[in-house]
Amino acid sequence: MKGIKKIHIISLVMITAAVVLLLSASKDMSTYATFAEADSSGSAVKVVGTLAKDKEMVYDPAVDPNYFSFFIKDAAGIERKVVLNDAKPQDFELSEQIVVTGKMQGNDFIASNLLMKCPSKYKDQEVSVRSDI
Amino acid sequence: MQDITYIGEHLFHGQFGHFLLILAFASAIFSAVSYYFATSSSGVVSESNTWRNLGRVGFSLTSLASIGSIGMIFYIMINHFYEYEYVWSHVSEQLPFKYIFTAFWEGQQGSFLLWIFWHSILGLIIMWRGSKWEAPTLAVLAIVQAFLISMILGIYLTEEFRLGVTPFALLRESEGMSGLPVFANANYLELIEGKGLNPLLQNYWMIIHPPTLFLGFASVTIPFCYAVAGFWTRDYSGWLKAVMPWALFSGAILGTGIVMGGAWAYEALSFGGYWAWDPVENASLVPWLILIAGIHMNLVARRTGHSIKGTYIFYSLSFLFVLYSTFLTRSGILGDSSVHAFTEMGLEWQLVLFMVAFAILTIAQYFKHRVAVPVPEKEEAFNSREFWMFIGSLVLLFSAGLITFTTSLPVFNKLMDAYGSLVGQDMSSYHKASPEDPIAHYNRFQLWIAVFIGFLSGLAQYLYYKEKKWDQRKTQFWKNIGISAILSVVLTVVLSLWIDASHYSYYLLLFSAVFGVVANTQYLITFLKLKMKASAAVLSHVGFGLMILGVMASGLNKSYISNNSFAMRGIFAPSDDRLHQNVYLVKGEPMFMGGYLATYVSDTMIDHNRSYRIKFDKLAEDQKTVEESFELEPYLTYNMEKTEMVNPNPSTRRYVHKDIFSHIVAAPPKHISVEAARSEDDSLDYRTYYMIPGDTINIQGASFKINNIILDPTHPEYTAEADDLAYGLEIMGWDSAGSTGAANPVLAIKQQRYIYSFYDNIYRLGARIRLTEEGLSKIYPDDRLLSYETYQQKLGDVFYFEDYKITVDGFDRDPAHPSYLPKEGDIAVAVQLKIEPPTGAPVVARPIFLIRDNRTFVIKDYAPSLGISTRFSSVDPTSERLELQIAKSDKNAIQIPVEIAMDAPRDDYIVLEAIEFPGINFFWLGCILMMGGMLLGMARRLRLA
Repeated sequence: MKGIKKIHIISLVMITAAVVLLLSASKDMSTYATFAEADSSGSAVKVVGTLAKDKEMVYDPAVDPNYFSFFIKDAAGIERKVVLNDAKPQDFELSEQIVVTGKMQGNDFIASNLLMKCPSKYKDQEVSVRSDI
Repeated sequence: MQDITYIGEHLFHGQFGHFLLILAFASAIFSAVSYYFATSSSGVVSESNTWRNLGRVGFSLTSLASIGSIGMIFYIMINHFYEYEYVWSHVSEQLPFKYIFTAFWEGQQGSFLLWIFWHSILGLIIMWRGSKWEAPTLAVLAIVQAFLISMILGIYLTEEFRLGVTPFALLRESEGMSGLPVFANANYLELIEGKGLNPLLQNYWMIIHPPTLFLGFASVTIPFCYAVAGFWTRDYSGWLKAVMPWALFSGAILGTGIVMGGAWAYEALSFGGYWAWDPVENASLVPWLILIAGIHMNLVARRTGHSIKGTYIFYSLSFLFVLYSTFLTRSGILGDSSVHAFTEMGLEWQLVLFMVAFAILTIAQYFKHRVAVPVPEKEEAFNSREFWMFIGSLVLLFSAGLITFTTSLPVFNKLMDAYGSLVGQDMSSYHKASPEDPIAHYNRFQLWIAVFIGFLSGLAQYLYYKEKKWDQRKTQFWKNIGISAILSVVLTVVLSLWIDASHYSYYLLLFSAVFGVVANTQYLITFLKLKMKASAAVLSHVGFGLMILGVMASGLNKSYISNNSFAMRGIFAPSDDRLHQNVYLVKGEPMFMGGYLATYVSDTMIDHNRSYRIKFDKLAEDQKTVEESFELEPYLTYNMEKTEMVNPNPSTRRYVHKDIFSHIVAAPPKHISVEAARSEDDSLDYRTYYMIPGDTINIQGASFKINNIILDPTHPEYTAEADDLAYGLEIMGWDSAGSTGAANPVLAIKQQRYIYSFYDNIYRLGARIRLTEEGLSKIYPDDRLLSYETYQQKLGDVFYFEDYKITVDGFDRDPAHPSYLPKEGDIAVAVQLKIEPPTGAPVVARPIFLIRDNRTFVIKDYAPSLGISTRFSSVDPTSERLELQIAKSDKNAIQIPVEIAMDAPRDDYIVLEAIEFPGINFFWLGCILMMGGMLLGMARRLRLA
């Protein structure tokens, strides 16, 4: 046992713990998928898509302030209805790209999280010209 | 383009500022080299002193030049020199002066300069104190400065290859701008104005949070400099004492900076919390955790000689992770497809080089000296304080590692892609994305770490460094620990009545936090005898425990007041277990939610904010008695033109034991943007009806009648100005079911060209009513189409016009009239004519006779409800007779076109989120104690030194 110090044992324990934790942590990680893959996987995935602007978007707070539905088209071109149980985010229509995290439930994708990528209002390459000239 | 000589540009300022940056860069390198030789020639005192003095000159010069260039940026910002891209991007005419600092560090270059600024200040302090550590530490700091300054240097080494991006770039030369037609105009500066500061950042926290955070980042460099210096000069234990105050300072300031970021998020952002495990937040937390671990290692090393290498590694890692964080947050790698400004700037390679260079320096230095570093023969004993502090430090490092792992997923994906492109394989199917619920993910792991730290922070206080008399002390130890543990169990049970710990792990966390607080407090009383001077560690550890209690109380007991199951009744099945976090409030209609009766009372526009008064009445058990009333005023911030809402701002009611947080998640289109309002209004089915005042029309079972025509109308959205031409109608509506209501739509023409129509609703009928421009000509009949009858009358006379009895009632020598704008030198007189119709109320008309610049004018008055126009056309001074002209419009001519849409949506609502955060003040108090403890420790060590 000579040469083996406590620090070595502790390091070993810590490294084991780290590996176990990271393995279990990696189960938390979601993966990017298309709607077709979301259909088959049944677990939580992230779908990247664009808003289908011609399809109906429903947010009627008088009926339910916690229900917002819209359609997005994924990378493979499949359109699905997405339901978010929250208010409609500001500037939603302007989004160029939408990342929804969630699961398929029947024909609908129930999103637990929504991330929009908007053309930033404050970074656009435009020179604003004063209107009176 | 070259031929144009631009007018009004201030090119000197930028050139001088750029020159200062180059000077700063060169002198930083000069300083580093001089200090290097000062250190390496330390055997020969005179030579070393010469080099040291040169190093001082260099460091002073780089600091002065950097500060000078910062001053230059402020100068061009304050003077709105929009020819500079940096000024144009961050400043505008409307920007309040207090936000000029925020605008300065909003941009990447500004935040680099802020960092450089603090390095300069810290370096100058080291120079001023002038210890033996000056030369080696400042040699390292000067290299760090050189790397940082290179980020904003903006010089082309070759045609394509640029080192850094200068803040003094001209707008017309910047990327994507140079070709724009506006720059074909030599006088383009007259045409442009700045974009201004992102309204999200226009918050007082943004004035103090970034400087604090960057002082924190900058201060992390100092322990790193000492660590390198200690190994370099082979004074392996000497630096451990000198670095201590700096490390404590850094821990306190960086920690404060992070907490301020949380406070800003809590007060200005609407996600409802102070910490979201966001990658950007994590990026500043990780170096702090490692730094705190390093401080503990440092304490151990000072007392026992163990862990010197550990201290070196931890301080170096802390600095390297600041660089890594900078890389993560600025390279655009975090938002996988978002185009971050820095990516375009092409600074990624520079940031990577920065990291790699210092990582190599750290590692090389470590292996060079590894063997030479003294290590005590004896191992740390299990029952020694140093052993458990060492373990605690490792646990903190472990925590930092786990956070970094998840935060770095995009980096792993990038690395996989790099590998994939080498072997020609598409790796995208191996990509991992951030966890579905990041907060739950991080909390799950960090919970155990917090449990561990809580116990350790209490236990370790009762242990001794280099324990040799354990057998004598162990009874005492177990007695103290026993008392703390029993007290903590009791307190945990009491607290668990309040804190909703639903899982055994939460009970454990609660117990460990309570134990940390109790054991440390007990230690303060029994061992330190309440000597506050020595209580730094105790304060910080109590602070940690309280912070965890605050996190648990505000997190686990967080409840949505706006969870209105009552309003949902009948719409969803009872099995619907969704989280109802938002509630729909109609103006003036109280809504019961979460024990409160909430009423959206009113909304007011002040400057660029529309604030909503929301009254909360807390109801007692009987659901009737109001226990307490208060108002919250969340508000929406609009852009400069007030055409669009840019940010919802929360409003919080604070108590000692809880906060009530509210913000607006949705509002009607007219409160969101001009465009949204227009598109909603356009989607309605408006029909035009010609309505005769007093007559009733019927639309889809509802009846409408014009009650009154108003020539000086008011409307919540309309601000009347002197030369407006406006009218409004008061319209009654009712239906057979007994629903009634009134609407007051208004139409205004401003500056004779801009038409504004302000609609109004009768919500109970679902009707929205608006007016048309055509109606204006009906309201104001054209004089050419009228046939006036002329009367000569005196004051007090009574005469008849058709069936109308008219009395000349008096004069008004200071008349007011919608069509009359008084001017200096006017002689204006209005005659008051009381007109009594055969039926209905009398009306007073006030036509004006005006003499302006020796010319006479007649300003007619019109009584729309009667259709009668009156003129006061002249006055005979001798007979005192007035010439009055009266005309009546054709009854059909006052058919007023009114546009009515049925089934219009309401626009007097908001969707509100209201959250109760119990015990959140424990969190803030805990943080303050934690940082305060570190500052106290620093002060004590400085005094002793």
